[in-house]
Amino acid sequence: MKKITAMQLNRKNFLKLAAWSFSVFFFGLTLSIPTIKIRSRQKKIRLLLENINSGANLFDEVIIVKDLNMLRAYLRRCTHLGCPLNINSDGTLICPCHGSQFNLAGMAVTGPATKNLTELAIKIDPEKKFAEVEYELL
Amino acid sequence: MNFFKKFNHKIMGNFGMLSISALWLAILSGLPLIIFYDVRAPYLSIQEILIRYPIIQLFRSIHYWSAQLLIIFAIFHSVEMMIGINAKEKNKIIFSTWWPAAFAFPILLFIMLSGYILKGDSEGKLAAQIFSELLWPPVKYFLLGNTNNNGWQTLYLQHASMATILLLAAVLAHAKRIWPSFSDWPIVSFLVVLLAIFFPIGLHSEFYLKTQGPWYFLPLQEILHWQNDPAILPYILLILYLFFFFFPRFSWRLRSLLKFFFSLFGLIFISLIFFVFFFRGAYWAITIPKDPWPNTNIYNSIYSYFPDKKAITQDTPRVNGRSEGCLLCHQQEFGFATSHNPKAIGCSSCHLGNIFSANKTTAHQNMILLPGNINNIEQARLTCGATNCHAEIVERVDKSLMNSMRGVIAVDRFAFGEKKIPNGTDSVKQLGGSSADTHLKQLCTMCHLGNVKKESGPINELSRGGGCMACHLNYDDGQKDNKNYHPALTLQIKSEHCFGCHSRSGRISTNYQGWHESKLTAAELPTHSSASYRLLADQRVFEKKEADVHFLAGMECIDCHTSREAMGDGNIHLHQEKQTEITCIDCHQNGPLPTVGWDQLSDEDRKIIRLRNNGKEERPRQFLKIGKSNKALPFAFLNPQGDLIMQGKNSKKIFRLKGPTIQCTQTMPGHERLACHSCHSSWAPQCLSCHTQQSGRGIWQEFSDSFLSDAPPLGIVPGPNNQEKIVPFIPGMVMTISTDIPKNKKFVRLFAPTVPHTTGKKSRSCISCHLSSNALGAGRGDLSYNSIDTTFNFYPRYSALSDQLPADAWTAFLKDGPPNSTRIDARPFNRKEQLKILNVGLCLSCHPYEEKNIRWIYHNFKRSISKMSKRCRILQ
Repeated sequence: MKKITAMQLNRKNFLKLAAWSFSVFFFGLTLSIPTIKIRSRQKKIRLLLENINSGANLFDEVIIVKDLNMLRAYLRRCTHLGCPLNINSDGTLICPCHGSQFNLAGMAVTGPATKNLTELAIKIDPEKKFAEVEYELL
Repeated sequence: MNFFKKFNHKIMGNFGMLSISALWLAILSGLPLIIFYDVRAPYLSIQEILIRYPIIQLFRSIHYWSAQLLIIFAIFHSVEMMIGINAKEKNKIIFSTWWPAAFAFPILLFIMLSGYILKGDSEGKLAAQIFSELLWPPVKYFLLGNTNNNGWQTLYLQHASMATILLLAAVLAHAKRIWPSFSDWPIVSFLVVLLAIFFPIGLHSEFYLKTQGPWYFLPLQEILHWQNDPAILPYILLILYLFFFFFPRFSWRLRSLLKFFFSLFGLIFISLIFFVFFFRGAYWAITIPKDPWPNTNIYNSIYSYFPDKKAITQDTPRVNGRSEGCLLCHQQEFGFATSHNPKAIGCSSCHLGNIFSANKTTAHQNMILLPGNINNIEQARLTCGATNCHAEIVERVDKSLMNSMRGVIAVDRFAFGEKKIPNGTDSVKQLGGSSADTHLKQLCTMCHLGNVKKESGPINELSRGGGCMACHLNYDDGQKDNKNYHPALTLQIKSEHCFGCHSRSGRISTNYQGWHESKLTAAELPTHSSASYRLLADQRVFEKKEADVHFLAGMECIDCHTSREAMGDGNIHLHQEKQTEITCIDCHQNGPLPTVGWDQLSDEDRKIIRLRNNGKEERPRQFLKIGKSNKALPFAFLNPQGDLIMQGKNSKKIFRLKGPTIQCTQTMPGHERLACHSCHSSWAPQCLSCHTQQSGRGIWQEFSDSFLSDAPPLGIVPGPNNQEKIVPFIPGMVMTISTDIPKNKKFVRLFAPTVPHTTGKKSRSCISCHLSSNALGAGRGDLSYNSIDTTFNFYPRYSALSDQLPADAWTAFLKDGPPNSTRIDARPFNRKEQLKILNVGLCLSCHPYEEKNIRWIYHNFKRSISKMSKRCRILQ
């Protein structure tokens, strides 16, 4: 490769320089991804137990399922491509993007999603008034 | 011809130059949007443009349409280059010219897709999610940045600045020029402005469940629907792209092969676009489009450029984080219930329409004037049944018996001989053209909940159905003529709401209030005793009878009947008695009473209590548990003294619920199978035949026939735990049916179990059952005992019909008859049972039960029979 100087920066050399710069930039970005992930937002929702109905309840990024007074929480993200799930007409969970369906136990029932939903831990305060769910947004 | 030649020269072979014109138009029209677009609230900022700034909206539409034309022209240009129709190039593709164009393609797609995402509506958000999942993480962060903190700031800058500059550079490297040709510019501008004026681009409304993506990504979406592991897809696309990028470098033979492959790919691509756009509905389900242009919410009409002047002078009211354009004009409306106040939920939550327009015509597009009709479940899911509102209830109502008429349909088809049993799951929507279904469609199907309410106004005696409004719509009589008055949707469901449908067929609404249908016409209505007669809005005349004790006490239908009974509990019940959960014994029982605490109540019961109590909860209360369903009757509870009371849902009146008397609890032998209403129904409307007849082939008409109103016959239905239950029966279907095939003409006599809702404090007398031919099911007439040959003589009052039974009979006197019932396993008394009943009647004729000193006869009847004197007689 010829030595590049400001005088010699023609179209070909500029493109080469740009390609190299971009490669270095993306390499740097790749290395910094773990740091970006660490900075991802930790979120917490606090809900009145009274407001949680039987069956699936949607709260922004979290799904809370109440079944015979047992609570379970899932991340409201389809395991196929991450779209937020909705409640289907039969009470189960359905993805608006490609129609994946999940039952209330968080299991993938109809594709394209094959993985089960990510379950989140629920904390219930000693007075049994609030439920608290912590989750991470990447 | 010259025009076509010129057109051919201008357009064909000139797509590259047309693309440059479209590109510049897109860049320039994007400039004014910079001022109005907010990266932190993209959805709201575009809503404001749509509602308040028609000029900016025109630029936005030009921006959109020029971008669409740009990608179409660019695709056409690459196709014409590949297949060599461009005469100037003479089929020679030079790599140094080709690759910048190939490089421009992903940039162009990025610009298009980022523009789609930047709308910030639900479609945009989903596209962003899919896009970011498919990208390699470094590229994702480069293009999208930290969306959690900065919104769409990075994407917006990449869209408006980086990608645009790179695209212009690629165009320069490819075409050696950057400016559009003077002759192309007006053509493209004219076309784009025309499209922008007539098809202003809208915004996806949250009410439409169908979300697909931009048209050029629909095939990819379809592939993703089939692809369980989407991570592989970017690699496949990359390989395809590399083939495209290095196309001119390949040998002539390989290029021909690739041309064929790309043509095939293009054909599949276009087919998939059409397939997905028209045949994929909400949640990617395959649907048959009813509307030729299913996504009408994408484009507005030209009217949207002319907003009401209020939009310019006032701020757009915001509801639930969205601009609600409707409220610019509809601020004066009043009368709403708190939960449905438009200040809380907007107008569009119920009425849909286009909330992002301040022009009357556009705003009212796709509007539902009378929402709540559940005949069209898809529509109901968008209004009352929207995810955040009453989604679960709408699904339940759809399956419920009042909406489906499942029981009526099955019995009618059974009577017509079209079904072998009187059970079935077909709903009113599945009625066909058979004789039974025609009969139903012409005479009965108005009375189902799904029957569409087509005119505004209160629910009255003539109302039939109306979906959610059938029960929940309430008008303030004093205000209903005020043009700004809006009726309220509340829980104040009065007995009048039920009256329209339930004053027909079994007539429980009229029975309950103590009215019995007469044969009088409106003209014959006696004026001198108006309190004894009632003229209904449908011109039927009713005469006064004994009203139900619950009605006299001031109770309404919903005081006993729960939401699960009225709207269904989600299960498919075949007949009404299966869907009904309340029984007499739930309220009238002696302790210990089954109760549940606040925590064991269902969410729905708790919500109903809060709504009726102005938000107040009743935590310490113990609520009565219904035996059949194990669920609570939320307004029946123990008072502090431990007594069971009921509070009227509308009246707030307190009713003391008393246990049954000793005669009911210490059941006399032989009466174990009796239901409470067998004895306590003081009367029931009974007809000698169905008042329907065929007046011509396939034409059914209703006519007036004899109505009787005495104590009903009794019969047997299967009860819980394989035990039989004795309940009142009334004629269900007694008619001659002539179907389309004359030889199939037949007579049917089917009796139906009933709860007449004519409860009396006192039960019917012993002899009203034990010495009554009608109670046995044999019909009315003279019943006498012949002591010489120890037999009963029965002379029917009504002459026999074609089945040799008297017109009012269910079964033959002292004979085993066929079941003749509208329910499986229901039947009249058989000969043995009739004999047993009459034998007691024989004793009662000399030893009335009212004489306390001889009651022991009946309490130990078998022993009494064995010790009876020679003068006593019984039948064998």
